[in-house]
Amino acid sequence: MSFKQASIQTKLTLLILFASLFALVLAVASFGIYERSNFRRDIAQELSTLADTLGANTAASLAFDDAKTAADMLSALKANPNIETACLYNSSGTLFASYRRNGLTPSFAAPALQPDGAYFQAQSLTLFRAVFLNGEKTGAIAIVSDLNAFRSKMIQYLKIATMVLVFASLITYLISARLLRTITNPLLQLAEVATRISQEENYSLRVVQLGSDEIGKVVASFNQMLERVQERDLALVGLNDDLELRVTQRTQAFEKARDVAEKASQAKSEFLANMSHEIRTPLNGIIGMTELALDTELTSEQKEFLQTVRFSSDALLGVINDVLDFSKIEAGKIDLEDTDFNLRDTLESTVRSMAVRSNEKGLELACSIAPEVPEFVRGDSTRLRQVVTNLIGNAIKFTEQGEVVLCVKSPETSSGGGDSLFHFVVSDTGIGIPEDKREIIFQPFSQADTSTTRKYGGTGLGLTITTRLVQMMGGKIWIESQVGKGSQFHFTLLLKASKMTRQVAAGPSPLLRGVKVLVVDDNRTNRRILDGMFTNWHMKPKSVESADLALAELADTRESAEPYALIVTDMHMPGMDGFDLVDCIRKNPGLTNAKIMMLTSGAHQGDMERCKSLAIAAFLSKPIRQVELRDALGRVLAVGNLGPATGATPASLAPLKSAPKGKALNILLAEDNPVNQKVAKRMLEKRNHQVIVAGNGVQALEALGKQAFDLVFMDVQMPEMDGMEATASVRAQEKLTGVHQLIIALTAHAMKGDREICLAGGMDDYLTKPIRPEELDAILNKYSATEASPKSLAAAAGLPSET
Amino acid sequence: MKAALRLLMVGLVLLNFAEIGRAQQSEEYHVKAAFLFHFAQLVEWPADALGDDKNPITLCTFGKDPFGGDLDTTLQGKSVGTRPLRIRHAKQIQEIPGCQLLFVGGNERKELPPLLAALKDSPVLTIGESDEFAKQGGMIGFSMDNNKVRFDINVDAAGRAKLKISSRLLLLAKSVIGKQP
Repeated sequence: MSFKQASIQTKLTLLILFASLFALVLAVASFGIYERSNFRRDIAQELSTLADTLGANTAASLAFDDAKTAADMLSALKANPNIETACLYNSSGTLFASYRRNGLTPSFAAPALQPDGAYFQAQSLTLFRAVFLNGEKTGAIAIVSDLNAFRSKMIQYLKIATMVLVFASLITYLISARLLRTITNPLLQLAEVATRISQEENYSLRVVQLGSDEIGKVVASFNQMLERVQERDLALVGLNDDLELRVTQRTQAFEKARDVAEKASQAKSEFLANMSHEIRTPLNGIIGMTELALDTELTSEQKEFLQTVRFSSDALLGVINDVLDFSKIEAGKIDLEDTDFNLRDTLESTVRSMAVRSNEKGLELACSIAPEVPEFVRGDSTRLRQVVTNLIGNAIKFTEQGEVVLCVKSPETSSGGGDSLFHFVVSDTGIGIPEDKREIIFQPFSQADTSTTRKYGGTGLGLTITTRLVQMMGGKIWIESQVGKGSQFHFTLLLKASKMTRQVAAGPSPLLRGVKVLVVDDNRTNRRILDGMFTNWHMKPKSVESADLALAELADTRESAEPYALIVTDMHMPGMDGFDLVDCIRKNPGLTNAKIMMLTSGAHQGDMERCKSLAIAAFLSKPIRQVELRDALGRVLAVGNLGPATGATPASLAPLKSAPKGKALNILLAEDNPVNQKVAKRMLEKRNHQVIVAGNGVQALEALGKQAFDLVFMDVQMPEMDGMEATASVRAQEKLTGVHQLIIALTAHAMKGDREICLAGGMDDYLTKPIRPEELDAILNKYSATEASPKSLAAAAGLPSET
Repeated sequence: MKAALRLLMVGLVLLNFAEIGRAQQSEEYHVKAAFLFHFAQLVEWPADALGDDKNPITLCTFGKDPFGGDLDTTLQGKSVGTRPLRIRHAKQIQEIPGCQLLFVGGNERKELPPLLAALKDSPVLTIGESDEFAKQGGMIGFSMDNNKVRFDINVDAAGRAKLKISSRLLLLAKSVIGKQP
């Protein structure tokens, strides 16, 4: 361990030990030196005394020349063992007598006579002394003494010194250790307390102050510091506690508030659900009965009144639906469906469903879907339909003249390949939205101009709902608009790729390839759409914007090698309309042999007759569904070179209003409410279907046990056994029989994912009360289009085949 | 005649011997002269016999002087302690007073008893040259031993004369007569 790392105690002990040892050694050494000189002096003194005595004693011998006596006297020196030799010289300096210590060689060289004094050699001391007899110098004496006495004395002295050193060191060590403890103990205590504090973070510990020296001061300062830290700690803890308390209080307050809010929200939702149910039931009666009344013989005045009633109740229903939707979205209670569906079909049928309204205002309504858009995707078709309906509805509402077009651009597929971002645009030629209002219209209960509310009506919830739905489906919505020229509502959606690849409309019929077609439409969008479709089918379209131009074009090309094989003309056109054009063509038989297809926005009574008389090959209502157009084209072109007079029955004359379509169905209606029973029964019977009514689930099951039905309308809420239970029972039996009974849910509950619940409960589809004729027709068409075999019905429902 | 011859013979021998003896004698008396001086150094006289510190110590020879002047030359100018040493040659007893040391030569054997009687108890250190001198009442008597000059001491005689002879001197004596102090 190096000196730096040693403890203070060790350091100080070593220091003190070293210092005291140094002092001791110094003392011993100086005493040694002092002793040595003392000894030399003493021995010289002793020898000279001895020499003096001997000299005095032998002086006479010298005087009387008595060497023998002198030698005798010298021999007295043997009493002193240190004396080696003694020599007596006479006055002439010659050796007179001598003494030699026993054990030494008798022969020796007498030291040469020297003046008086002590002469030290390495091992001996020689002392010369003159000899006097009564003041008369009679000779000299020399005494040689060894220094053994000195040496042994020195050795003795060293022994004692060593003992003293050892003893003194020991004592020093013990005392210093004891003394140091008074210094180091407080330090160690200080260090220990500091360590404990840093380990335990216990600032209430204190160091005991043992003195008022420097260490004592350090200890006092340390304690003061601890005091401060503790005070601060306490203050902090206090603050913390205070803070925690406040946080707890706040949290509790917040929780309370949140609970209250949640309860309020729940109450609101329940209230809304109940309200909706309570409003819908009577509304159902109103709408249904009005509908029925309108089909009876009425005066024009009565008819107008009833139509106003129907319009008002429809509007009321719309408001209720919007509010419900909005509250569902606000409550986050909308779950998105994730099923395969036919995107093209869905969009086209949705647009088509808006056609009545656009026709009423004389607007062009078109749907343009890029060829790259896949037919099937995965997602929530209902919500998509809602968004499109809403935006188109708005567009129609705010457009006085011109067109409303839904455009779907080719999707961007993400690199992962799973989701694709679809870009939809609903554009109109309406009033437009000023820049500063574009943000506001997405806020709930707001419209661009409050004055418009009166003019256009509406809750102002539509766009809010739409925006939320789009966001939920992973997209965004934005507006481009020019005041007075129109608006474009853009929105994007993330839709998954579908595994379904059944592309009915994908492969263009070979019949269509290379067919030259002339499109006559005053609406540019329509022309573009038709052009796009025809091109996509490898036809050779040419479009003109008026009947005059069409006639000119026909005249120009009739002599060409490749005349037009087909003319697709719009019915409503400014100036010369479609019928006039066909009239004109028929009157000039040389002009063209092309087949003629007529497109119309609204079919009127007598149109069919006119078509027949003009030998128009097909009569299609706008907006055109791609599949319908292609099928119609196929039929028209396949007929071959039929003369105009032959006039095959128009392949696809749009059904006249409310005309029942398909065969009569055998329908079971399970509904407890007498008004609703009556309304639904009458609506169905009016469509030539046979209806048996069951008052509740039990009766419905009984009826199902007695006979087979093509379709069951099942009210969800019924006494005794509700619709869900009854459906579950039916589905349970089907597991044995393997037959699939079509069941359509009827519910006034437009809340809490009723649709999802119904579908999960085994229902095939879903109708909300009050039943609206269009929706009923859509359902009936969907499920009665073909023979009601379960598999084909499933296919018609757009569901994947179960096989 | 015979006696004359014998005398002559003896005389011749003696002459021869005398020649040798003269050299020996010269050496002998040289030593004795030094001895005499040392005796003066090692004997203490009663205070009244000498008086003042500066008073000289007087060494006297009695009768014929065997030193032949050697004594004077050897001890000329010497002093014992603070006292100067004087040499005097006394021929008769009457001349003796004033002497502290009195050397009686060997030739004066006949004069010895009256001399000693006359000096009886007076503080004069008497030194003789015969073996019997100390026994006869003299204080220090020279003798020859192996050609070396030695001496005997009569302590009683000295004591009676109130002289203190240094023990160192006693130590060197061939024999000491009388009781030791």
